[in-house]
Amino acid sequence: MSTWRIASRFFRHDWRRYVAFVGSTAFTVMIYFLYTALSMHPDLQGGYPYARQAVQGMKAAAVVIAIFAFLFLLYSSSSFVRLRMKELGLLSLLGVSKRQLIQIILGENLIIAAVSLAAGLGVGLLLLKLFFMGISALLRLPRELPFSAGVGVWLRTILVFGGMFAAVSVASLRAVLRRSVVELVRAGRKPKAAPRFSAWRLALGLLLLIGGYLWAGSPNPTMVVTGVVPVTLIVSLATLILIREASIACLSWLHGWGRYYYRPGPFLTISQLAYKIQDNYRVLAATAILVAVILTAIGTAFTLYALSTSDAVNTYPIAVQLVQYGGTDERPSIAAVHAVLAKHGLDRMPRRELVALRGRLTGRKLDVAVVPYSFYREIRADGREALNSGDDHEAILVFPRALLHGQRKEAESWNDRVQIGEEELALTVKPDEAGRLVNPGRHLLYNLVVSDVVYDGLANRVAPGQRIHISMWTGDWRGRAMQQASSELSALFAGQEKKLVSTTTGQYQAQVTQMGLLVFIGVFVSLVFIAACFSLLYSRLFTDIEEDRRYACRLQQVGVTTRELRGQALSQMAVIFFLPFVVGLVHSTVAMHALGTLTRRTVLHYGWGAALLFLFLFGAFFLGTGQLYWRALQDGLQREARSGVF
Amino acid sequence: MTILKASGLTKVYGSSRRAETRALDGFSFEVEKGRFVGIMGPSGSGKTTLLNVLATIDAPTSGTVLVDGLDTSRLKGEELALFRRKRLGFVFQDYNLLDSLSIEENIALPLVLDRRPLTAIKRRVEEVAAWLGIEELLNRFPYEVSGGQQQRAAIARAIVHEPVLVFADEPTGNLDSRSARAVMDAFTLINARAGATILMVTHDPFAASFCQTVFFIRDGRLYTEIHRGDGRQAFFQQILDVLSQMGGAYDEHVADRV
Repeated sequence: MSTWRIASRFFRHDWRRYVAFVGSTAFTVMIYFLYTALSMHPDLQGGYPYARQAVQGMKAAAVVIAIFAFLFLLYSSSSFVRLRMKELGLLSLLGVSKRQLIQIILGENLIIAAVSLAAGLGVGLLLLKLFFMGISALLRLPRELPFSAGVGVWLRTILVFGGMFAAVSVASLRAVLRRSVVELVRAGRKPKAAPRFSAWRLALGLLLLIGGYLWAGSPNPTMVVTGVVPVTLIVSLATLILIREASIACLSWLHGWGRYYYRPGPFLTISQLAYKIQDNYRVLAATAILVAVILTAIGTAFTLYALSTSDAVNTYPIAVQLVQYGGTDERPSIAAVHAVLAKHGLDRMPRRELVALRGRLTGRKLDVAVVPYSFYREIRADGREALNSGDDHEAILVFPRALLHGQRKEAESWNDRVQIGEEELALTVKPDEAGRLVNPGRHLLYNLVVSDVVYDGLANRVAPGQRIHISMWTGDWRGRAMQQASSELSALFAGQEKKLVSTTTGQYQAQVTQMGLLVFIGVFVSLVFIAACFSLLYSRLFTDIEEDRRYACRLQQVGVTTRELRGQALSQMAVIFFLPFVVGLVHSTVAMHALGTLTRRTVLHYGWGAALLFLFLFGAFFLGTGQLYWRALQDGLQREARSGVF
Repeated sequence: MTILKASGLTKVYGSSRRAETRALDGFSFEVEKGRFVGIMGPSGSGKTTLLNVLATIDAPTSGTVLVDGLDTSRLKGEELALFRRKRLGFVFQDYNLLDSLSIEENIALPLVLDRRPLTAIKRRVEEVAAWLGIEELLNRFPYEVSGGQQQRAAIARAIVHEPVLVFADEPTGNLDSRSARAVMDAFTLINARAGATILMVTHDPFAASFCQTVFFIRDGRLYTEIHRGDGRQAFFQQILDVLSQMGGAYDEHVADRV
């Protein structure tokens, strides 16, 4: 038999072990192919709004996927090599030369690479059109992206993944060739030590976890922002330590609880589970972290999507706003805006005029638009007096409210000076972070509110060049007529004048598009992670199956019934599957709480919504894999039963 | 009182007539309660098939097996598994202890499956372990003790739930002569003290010499049976004589182990 036939026979014989590995690799290839095809699409290389961001996003996502895929391949193939050790050892015992051994390993890797690439590219090609349709809709492209997958796309995908496979093959070759024949044959036969936990490692893990959680749970946004990277590292480390130590500690405790432990279910499950967790804690920790990342990514994307759309009205509070800088009294564009509104039946919208004054807050080094207190009161309209009417040296600085709140807390009030043209005034300034007064624009981001008396005096004295005329139409911005009027206005005020007119509706649509894209990219990257996560669990399950078969067989011999065996096998599997999920969920809940601190809202439900979705996926995967696993276990048992017990 | 009665056991493997193998061919015998019985025969004589059929793991093509008066062919699926676990005990060549359980837990397994109360389990395990001289090893794990000790633990597990019949398959097959002797002493002891009925299949004339009766099987049929008189040495010689009559396959056994 040629070495090639041996390699291909390995592959056919043990397809269950390969299927997860090949499947998830093919899936990763497919996603990479789709992203690359999109980022290299000729129509997106210029022109469309947001297209540049989309391409950037896709490119970044492709890099993340490639790095991740490489780590995944490296891990999976090393666990493969461990499985193969004994077979390869036997082959070399039977006289297969080193050269032939290398050929077998390379042959096997070549088959895996070829099948994964072919399947990934094939399915990718089938889905490409659908993918383009989805992206075109999300980006609101005027014309759907035509089908396009140039040589470059294929070449890049094949080169990137081919390179990875080559590197991984070299790594597995090294692992095998470093060992002697005896080591190969004996691999995996060493008796395992009984699982014990170490109290100090448990304490260290708990300390790290609590520390990380407290940091992330801090009510101070600055702490939260600076904590993102260190907390992730600390909590990952804590997970790695705790998933082993805490699980074994719990199981030991249950083990010591005689009345509970000495019953069929726990008796058969607990002791073996401790061994399984000891053997697999790295994979479990990696899965838990992946689950946490996935849930947080999807939860964050949903949150930003939901908040940004509701925030359109906070960032652009005025339904339609027209701005004119300079001091000319001729403002023909008001008529143009009015005409568009009238065309869509919106001419009844109340209009308000405001002249803001361009100034500079010298202490804070901020460009501000000075507005009168009477205007501020109309907008805020809560009946509370924010300024002492008698004191002309008081002012309010209105901050733009950011979606993510990272800046430091403002002081109660401070002394500052405002400069408007040649004029300069000393003021006591109070902050206001309750939201914008007008839509943003040049000089309009920060608004300084002064008393009407001060404002009138300044307005009379400053040069016309310091004035900003703002026309504001207020009212409902959600209607269909408003949508049409908004897009007509942005078409009308193109080029230089683009920034002069702004609408809440336009902002809302932009947010929906941008954030929709973010969600889309986030969900796709998460899909790759999910596939990896499932594949890790699956391959782990089938790596141990020989051992599990032996165990089940022994149990069967002492009279454990098939139903009891199934219950034992599935309950162990359930713990292996859902332990990382629960840990990941707790981590992501803390992360979502931190996001809540940044957005000053409760956003936990977005994270939990994502978790519920993921739970369905996970549950379905558990049921499917459970079936496969039980069938594989039964196959072995039946083989055993056919050959008799003795 | 007869505890095991096999009549006309036949087992045919393979469906087409040309590929047919008759592993058992009308085999009949009886075992009285409290006896320690051996079954010997050359390789391929049908020993293992017989044991599998008697232990209800394999169904005979024809013939019946009565265990304690119960026709085992009437039991199906789950019933059969429960019957095996409550009424029978097994000792295997490679011990078959569960690596993840301590020696104590391994012995307790049949009682736990039977949902006995904790105190009763502990008491019984200690009792049986003391008989077999392994009470010091209860907290160790299988990989921490010797093969002979593992086999004694396996014997303890086989009798802990007081089965009507214990099956042993080549229990000394993996052991050196000292450990083999300790294991056979253990069988003799539980046979005498607990009154356990034991049916042991073996290749080893030395191990068989501990039995009270040895049945010889050849080509799926009962060849002969011999009963032990006074001395074990004499019985050992008797066994060797029968084996040499049967010829062939026993040449590998060297008779210098008495």
